[in-house]
Amino acid sequence: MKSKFLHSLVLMTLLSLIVVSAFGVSSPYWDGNPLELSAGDKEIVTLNLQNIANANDDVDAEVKIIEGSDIASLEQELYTVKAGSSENCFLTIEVPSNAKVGDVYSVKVETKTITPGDAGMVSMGTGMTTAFNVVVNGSKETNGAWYYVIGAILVIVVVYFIVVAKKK
Amino acid sequence: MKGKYIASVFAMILLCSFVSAGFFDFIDGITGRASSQPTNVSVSVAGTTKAQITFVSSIPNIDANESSYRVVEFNVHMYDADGVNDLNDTSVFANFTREGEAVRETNSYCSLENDVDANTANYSCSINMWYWDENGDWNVSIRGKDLGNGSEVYNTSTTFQYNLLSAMVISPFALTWPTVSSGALNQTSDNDPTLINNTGNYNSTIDITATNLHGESVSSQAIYAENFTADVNTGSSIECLGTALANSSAQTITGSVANRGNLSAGSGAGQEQFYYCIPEVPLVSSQTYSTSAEGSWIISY
Repeated sequence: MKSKFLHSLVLMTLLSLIVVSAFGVSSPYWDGNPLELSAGDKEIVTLNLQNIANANDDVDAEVKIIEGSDIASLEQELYTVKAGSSENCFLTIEVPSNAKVGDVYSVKVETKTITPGDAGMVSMGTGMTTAFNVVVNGSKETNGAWYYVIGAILVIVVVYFIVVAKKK
Repeated sequence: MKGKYIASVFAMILLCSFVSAGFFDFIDGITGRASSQPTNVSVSVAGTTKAQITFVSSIPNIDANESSYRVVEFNVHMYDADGVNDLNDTSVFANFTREGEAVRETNSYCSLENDVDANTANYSCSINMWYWDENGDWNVSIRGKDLGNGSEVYNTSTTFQYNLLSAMVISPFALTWPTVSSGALNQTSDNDPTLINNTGNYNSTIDITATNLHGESVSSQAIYAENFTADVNTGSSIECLGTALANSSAQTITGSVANRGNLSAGSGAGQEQFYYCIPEVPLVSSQTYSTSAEGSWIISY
């Protein structure tokens, strides 16, 4: 009954071609270590794409923002990381000027190696997800204004006491 | 009497200086001083004031190096009120610490770079941080001493951030199955496991994003990603009861862990492995199916 023995999945066993796939992404922010910015602030976060371990071949990688594209943008999405080296990927974070103190934005960036889906087999690649929060803290302008207000009050108080002392 | 006289004369002769000078030599400056002569003089100063470590250069955020170490370099200043000569230049050591982590320290003492001024010297330190060292804040501790006082002094005022490195090496990066037939149960891959070496310091679960396998002759036919399972265990087809995969959607493999650690230790630290199965081969035409149409499966952190 040949029909019962449909050869539905014939994949070549290319054991002689066993090779490794290596890739890494380093990030200064992660879940639990948020980026803190003030409303209207902008920061460029550097993600370091690495192809160092067991790297005999260059690696093509694609970087995509999968969450937080309202505040995050990429200069470039496709990278070729030479064997034994690393490349910096610049992720720009810009907090809206109308954001409120305490607002939290979630940013998620996916980086995956581009491997051709080779014929006759299930090819595998590697991927890294960089996820972190952007927390809006007090704006610098507001803090500066408060310093001026406190300074002015202190000056008024000192002048008042001097005037009172002279009258006595 | 005569004997005493002779003895006195003899004593006077012995006491007389044997010198010779002209009558006017006093004009040339006979002073009675010894004649001048260059002489090497060595003086050791041993002050009693303790040294102080007054400055540690700030260390920027450090990226780990995939499957290797990163040399972290910084400078420290040691001050002594008794002068730089009283500083013990081979006494300055540094280490990095973080709770639950191995101490990382200088292989040798920090080397003297230069004297900043009469009381302060500048030393250069370097410490290797390994790829599996935990991401987060690390404390920097410096110790050193002077020659005179000899008390060890410390500076623990500095920290630095070691960044998160999500990195892996997988092998092999192609999966194969033997010839299977429609309706067949528990068909396991014949070249698994996929060995996943954690070459960074990420330490959580591992996902697989699968894609549908299309026929290479009749591409409208496909074995959908949902027909596959993956597991961290094998034996008695247990992987066939593993996590069901999904098309273009990351599925966390139950029981998986990146398990950061020293891969060279050989204890299984830093390693995970995945086994694959088709619990029931769907009814599809007889041909070769592959990922060439929809792209590779992705193993990810």
